[in-house]
Amino acid sequence: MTLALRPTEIAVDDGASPFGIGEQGARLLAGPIASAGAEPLGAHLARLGALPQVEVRQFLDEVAASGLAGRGGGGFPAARKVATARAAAAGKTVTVVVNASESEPASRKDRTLCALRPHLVLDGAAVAAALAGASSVVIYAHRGADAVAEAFRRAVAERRSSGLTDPVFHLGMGPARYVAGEASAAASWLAGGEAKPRALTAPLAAAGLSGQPTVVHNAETLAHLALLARFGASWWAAAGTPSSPGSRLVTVHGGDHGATVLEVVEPVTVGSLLEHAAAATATAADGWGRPGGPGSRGAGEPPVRAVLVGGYAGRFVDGAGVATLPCTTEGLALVGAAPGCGLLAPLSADACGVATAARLARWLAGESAGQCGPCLYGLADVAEALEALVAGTSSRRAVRTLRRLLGEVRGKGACHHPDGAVAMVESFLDVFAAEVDAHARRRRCPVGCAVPAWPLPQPEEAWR
Amino acid sequence: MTGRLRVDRTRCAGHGICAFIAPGALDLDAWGFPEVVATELSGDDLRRARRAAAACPRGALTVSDVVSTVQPLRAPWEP
Ligand SMILES: Cc1cc2nc3c(=O)[nH]c(=O)nc-3n(C[C@H](O)[C@H](O)[C@H](O)COP(=O)(O)O)c2cc1C
Ligand code: SF4
Ligand code: SF4
Repeated sequence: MTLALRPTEIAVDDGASPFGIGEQGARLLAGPIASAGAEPLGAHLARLGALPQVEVRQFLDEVAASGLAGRGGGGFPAARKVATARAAAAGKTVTVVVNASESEPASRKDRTLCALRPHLVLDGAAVAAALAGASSVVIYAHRGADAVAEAFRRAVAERRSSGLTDPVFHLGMGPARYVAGEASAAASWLAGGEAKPRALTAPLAAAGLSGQPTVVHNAETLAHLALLARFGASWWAAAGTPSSPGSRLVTVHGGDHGATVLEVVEPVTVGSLLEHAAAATATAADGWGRPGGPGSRGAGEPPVRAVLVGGYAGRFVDGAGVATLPCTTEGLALVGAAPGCGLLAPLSADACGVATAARLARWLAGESAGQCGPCLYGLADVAEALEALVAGTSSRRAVRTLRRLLGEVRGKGACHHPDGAVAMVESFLDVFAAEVDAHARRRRCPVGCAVPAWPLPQPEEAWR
Repeated sequence: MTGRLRVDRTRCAGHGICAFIAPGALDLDAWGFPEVVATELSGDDLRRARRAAAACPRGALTVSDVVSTVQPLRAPWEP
């Protein structure tokens, strides 16, 4: 089996990287090597050809047939959003938003894609605009994401001077906060308000920005749309699996080793992705990861105790099963997880899951927009209960209370922020049941409550 | 005549007045914030819910008439 993976953090010239029908090479990340930086417009068009004129109805069917699901975390069918906007477009101003905020602290896939293949993302935004009936596109990113902003500024300038027929592109740099990446928060900020999620009574695609239809898509989702428009649904869906088609970008967080972005084209296991990432960062002058053999993580490395899948508000899965766990929507569903934003963060056996979960929970609590009571107070209570476990001041009874508390917070926010945090903590209680019990009975932490080097950025103060 | 009660949690400040005015429609959670316990209201409960909505200092409560039994549109961000 060819592992169609492509580490991008490494300079690699894999030759022509042929990009054609049936080729099981990289797709989104095909083309020039990572160290070459953003692919210029000329090279992009020479490699992929011009974006074909799409016949709207036909192409909407094509997108629906492809099964493309959003890559921003929710996995919502892409065809439905543009169709909703189109249906609501009469007499309205439709806007397409490229969500390039990537507010997940350990995720790198969107900024890698935007920095290396800005024209693929812009092509996709242009296609989405044509489908939804939008004349303008806003690229939305966090302040401080300079590489992303720079890549888009240049790319848009290139397109303008080459005379491509494009929608009008705007760049909006919003506050660098976790929930600011949520779709309604993005729409609120773009409409001049705070980048806080809104309680919606209608889908954003029907009535978003100041009541106008707003299609918010993750940058990767749009890049897929650009390939779909060129090569069609059957080519596109030949990657992935029948129920979760298409390739997918994942970020393997390597703690001190940094992160590796891989494009997964064929169904592979979570374990083999971890191995590839480890090998890619450790060795491989040619940049292609060489797995060290089944089950190995390189000599002397402690085994993986658990993997946090899908983001900080994703789910922990037991490390014991990752060697056989397929990194697909269906495979992950077997263990209650989902691809989410594509993050895989392994926690090695010499780190403490309890202390890690407590830190993540405290960080997520601090990222509440502070609007909804159960989110503001509930997540803080959850973090406190976990911190008591770490401090050795908890009890089995307190753990049972924590479980009840989680049930009270779930579904009680205007956005899904608290739900994700609850899911992460619940999966932690399941996967780390033995460690939780040991901490609850005030035994000493077997690994000394060491925590992995996962980024927990200080949020920007401003909301505007 | 039936009505539907909705809480905009981004506006609610958790005073809890509403749950005292309309106990048949709202309950308070562990942090003192209202939860809708009965969405479709009629008779006395509906009257109380309207009074609670009017009393809410944050305008967080809305009572809308149930005009048909058509399922509400599922929002795209909902799984
Ligand atoms: C708390 C929170 C943070 C989010 N942050 C991001 C983000 O940084 N980038 C992103 O693309 N989607 C983010 N999302 C998901 C968006 O709300 C939205 O679903 C997504 O941008 C839609 O794009 P897609 O359909 O292409 O996946 C976030 C959601 C939540 C609840
Ligand atoms: S649930 Fe939390 S993050 Fe989401 S809108 Fe409410 S307060 Fe903000
Ligand atoms: S009266 Fe209004 S602000 Fe007060 S708890 Fe009820 S809904 Fe919230």
